[in-house]
Amino acid sequence: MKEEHLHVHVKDEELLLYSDGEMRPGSSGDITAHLEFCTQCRARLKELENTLAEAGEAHRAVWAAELPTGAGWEALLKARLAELAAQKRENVWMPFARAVLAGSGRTAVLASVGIVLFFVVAIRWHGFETAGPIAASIGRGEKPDFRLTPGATVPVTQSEVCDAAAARTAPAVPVSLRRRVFEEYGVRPPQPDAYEVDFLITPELGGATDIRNLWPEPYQDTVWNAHVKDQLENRLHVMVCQGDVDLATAQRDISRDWIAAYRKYFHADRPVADSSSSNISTFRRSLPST
Amino acid sequence: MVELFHELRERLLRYLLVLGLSIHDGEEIIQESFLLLFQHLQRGKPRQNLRGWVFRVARNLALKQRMANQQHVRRVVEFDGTVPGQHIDRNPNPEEQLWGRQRQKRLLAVIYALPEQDQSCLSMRAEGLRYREIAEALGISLGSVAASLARSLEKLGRADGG
Repeated sequence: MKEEHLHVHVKDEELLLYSDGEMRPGSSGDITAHLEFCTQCRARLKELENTLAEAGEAHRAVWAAELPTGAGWEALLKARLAELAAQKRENVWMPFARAVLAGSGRTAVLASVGIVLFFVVAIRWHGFETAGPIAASIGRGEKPDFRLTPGATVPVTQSEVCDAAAARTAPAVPVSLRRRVFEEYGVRPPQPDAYEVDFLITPELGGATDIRNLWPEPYQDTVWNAHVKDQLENRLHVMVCQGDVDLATAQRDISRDWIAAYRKYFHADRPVADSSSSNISTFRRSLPST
Repeated sequence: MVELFHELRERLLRYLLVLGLSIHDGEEIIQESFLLLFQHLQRGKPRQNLRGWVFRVARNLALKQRMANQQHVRRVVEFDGTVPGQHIDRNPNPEEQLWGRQRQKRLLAVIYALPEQDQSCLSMRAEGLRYREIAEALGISLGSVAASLARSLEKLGRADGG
């Protein structure tokens, strides 16, 4: 009887489950004893494991050159989680409100109608944003990832930066470089309508056309968007040329944390109205050459 | 949470690429999966088999996205030495060396021709998931995972010999 049993080989499924620790010694499906003396099954198990390992290697190798670094996405997730946690804290009062409303039947009905109306209006106002995926409803990309975009400059002096005759306008970023920037930040396919591939240190302040100095900055999605950063760039350029700030400080401040730099140089916690930016631009255009 | 993201991001991304998503869609889906995980945990839901849970959520979002996205990359049924669509403009050098390995090529040809569920089982296994994690991710039994892998390995073995 035992002899007969020995000749029934273990099925591949069982060998696989066994190798993944799902058929523990002593359990009903234990095949340890069989494997001890069946060389054929042991060889089969080895073969299955080898093929699995090789298939795994092939699978991972396909995408090895494709995968972008996850630093930006990790930072983004942290920001989104923080925002979600903050939203949750704000919503803590909701159960209490419901408990109070449940106190009187008629009040509760009226309140329910009110709440429904409130949400209908709110959803309309938000253009159904609230019904979209969580990820899409949370702001992102205001600041570059320092590890990907630390900032890079070309050797340039204050007078060169301020020489109106040789005005350093932003050079066009080659399409291939733009694409690399989008890829680096995991924006695929590239979305030139939604993001400006922006210089962290603007060329007007000596910033280089280099991937370390470029990142996809959202135009509209956030409070601190590309237009606001333009304001800061204009102001810093004016201040550098007036001698209020030296060039190296301006470069350092804007590359370390441009939002903090904005607050510092505008003495404002939030972006100021757009008109000031156009004033500065006008002012800069009218600067005499130095 | 961030540690788990660290551990799983690349694995999830590769799996989502196998499902035919673009890298960008894949990254967004991973973000969303982790935000959902955060909510799941905040509601005091079970903490067992979180890796399987995250793969399941990401997979469901991916399938939804794939349906919504009409121009999704079709899976390669007949493997011709290239990987799915979005990789056409890649830098060929490291890949050229890779594709030079005939054996890997044959294995990949078989992997890409597998039915979706078998391919998922194999990819998840390749990403280091245990069978019970794969079972959770795909909503199937442990036995079905083993049977699926056995089927795939049988085909891979045959390709290897041929």
